[in-house]
Amino acid sequence: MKSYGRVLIVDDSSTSRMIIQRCMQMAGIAVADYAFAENGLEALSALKGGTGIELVITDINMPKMDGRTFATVMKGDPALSGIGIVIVSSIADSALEAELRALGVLAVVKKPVSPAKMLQAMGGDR
Amino acid sequence: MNETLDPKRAAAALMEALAAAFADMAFIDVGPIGSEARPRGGGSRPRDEGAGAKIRAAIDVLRPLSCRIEIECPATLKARIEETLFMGESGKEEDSLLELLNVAAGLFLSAYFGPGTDIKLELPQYLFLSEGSEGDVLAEVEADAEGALLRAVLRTIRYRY
Repeated sequence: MKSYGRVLIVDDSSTSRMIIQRCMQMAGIAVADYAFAENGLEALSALKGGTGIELVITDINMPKMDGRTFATVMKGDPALSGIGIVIVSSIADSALEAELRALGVLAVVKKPVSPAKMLQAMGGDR
Repeated sequence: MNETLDPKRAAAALMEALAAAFADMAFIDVGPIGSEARPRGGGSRPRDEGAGAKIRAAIDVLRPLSCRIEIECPATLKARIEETLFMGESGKEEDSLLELLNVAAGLFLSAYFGPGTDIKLELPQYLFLSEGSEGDVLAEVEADAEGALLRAVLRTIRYRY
């Protein structure tokens, strides 16, 4: 399984950000460092700041800029389009999932997240 | 609201959604009051704190139907959830109850309307206890969250879009 230098977790809920990070750790996914943002706008700012982020895990339903818009902007920017995106969401909308996958997101994980779900999303085989 | 909900099925789905969200996220067993699955000493009702010690939160659903899901519980339950999740490291007010409600709403709607249903939710928010509730009650559940009384109500809401 791939290891990551820096992972950006984007969610307006502090509880959700903490749970996602904990599930990544419990799944044994190697991450050197985590960064956090509360919405898509903050996340874009962090990404454009050149902070060496290798993977983004983002919620959909957020204020200011939602995850769908954020993923679309990110994948449309040549400087950011190579960074992997995993979506986590409390909604399971098949049309939205198809749209996100067409954009190039790696996986869509339904909340509540778990170590097993995060491992599967990262391509783990345990 | 364009859809009609079966109150019994909605209440059962809401209870299951709350149970799954609380178990998976906060490691707290939630179930019907008096459930044999979670025996409680003396068969008493779970604690229902006074109005000043309660927390109330709501999330509005825009699709597949317009409705609101409200939950109410003792503040001590919220504190316990945050102690479990943050292990005393946070030191500030967290939004754990709002995130639990957000996840429970998604689980409830998926269970009731089927996986893959187009769902749109507003952001969850805390309500003042004195705030009135609009709309009719579609379904209501009272649950035992390991000794704390957890109430959830599904209400009709009409949006002026």
